[in-house]
Amino acid sequence: MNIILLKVLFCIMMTIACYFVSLKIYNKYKKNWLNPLYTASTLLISLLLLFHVHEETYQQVNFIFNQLLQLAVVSLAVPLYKQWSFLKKNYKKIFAGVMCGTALGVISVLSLAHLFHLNEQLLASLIPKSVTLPIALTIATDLGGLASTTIIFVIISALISVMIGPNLLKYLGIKSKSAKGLAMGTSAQMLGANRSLVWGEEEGAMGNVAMTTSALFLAIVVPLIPYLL
Amino acid sequence: MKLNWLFQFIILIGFLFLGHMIVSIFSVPLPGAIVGMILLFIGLLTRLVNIKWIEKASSFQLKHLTLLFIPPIAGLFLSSSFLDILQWNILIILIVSSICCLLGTAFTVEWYEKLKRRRAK
Repeated sequence: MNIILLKVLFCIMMTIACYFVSLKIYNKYKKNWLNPLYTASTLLISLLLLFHVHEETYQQVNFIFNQLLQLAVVSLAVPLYKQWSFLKKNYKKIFAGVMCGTALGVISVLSLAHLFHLNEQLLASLIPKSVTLPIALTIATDLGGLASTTIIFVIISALISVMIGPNLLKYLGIKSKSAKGLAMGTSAQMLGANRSLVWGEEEGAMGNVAMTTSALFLAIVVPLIPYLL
Repeated sequence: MKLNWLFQFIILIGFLFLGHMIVSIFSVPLPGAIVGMILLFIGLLTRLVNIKWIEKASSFQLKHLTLLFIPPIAGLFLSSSFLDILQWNILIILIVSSICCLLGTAFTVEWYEKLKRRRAK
């Protein structure tokens, strides 16, 4: 028992240390690809493999950090509150953008899954992938998908969006602050909202709103999907 | 009225608990954290909660949000089902649909703004 506790504590320390080392490196060189998200993850994964940390042990670490993540979701109310008057003025734009984006995401999953003849369980785990993690899990289990598979899909698609999103938007000449924030929040949720905070308060608030609305939208619409097919 | 760090966190934790409680009592189909956020937001709007009570703790958390994303990513690579699930067709679906979602939102917002600007003229 105590050994497990020690292992978990060790993993937590290692995770935090990796983050701060990466943050230091990032602050020193200020390069985009040195984002702590990538460098710290790579560093941590290599360390975990080096120390032969078991999947179960790290899952307990994950559980603890997940509690902190939930607390961070609660504190997202603050940027939302600070930008409230601005958001109220733009609610039509927000709804239009988030709904189109989310709908396109789901439609593309459905049509591609049809093309590749995926089985239903896999499809059920794929559909909620572009919603914030806790909501995605509820939706996936409602549809008959596998929770662990959904977690993987959510993280990978958020990572894909964060890695190519900013450059793609820049390349396509999208300059509107709201468009950037909303797009990142809809496709990469927490990660995207966090990324758009780098652009500025307005983008950050948009990203945050997009995350919340897309999650609420999917939570309401998804139960209807089986009837539409 | 300035509350110190500990109190700021306790307030945030309180809202998280409140969210979880409401979810379990009324069986709301939303995660407790989101309900907690909505409650805190309503509290701020109605001025039941002063923003100074939580500002420091929340901005500290959001500043270091990246740290909280690292464990799930690391856990992903350690998990044994990771390689079984990840086949090329699923990877294509993930990439294509993420881009669809991203661009769908971005272009809708851009078009909407253009339309509005044209109308304003």
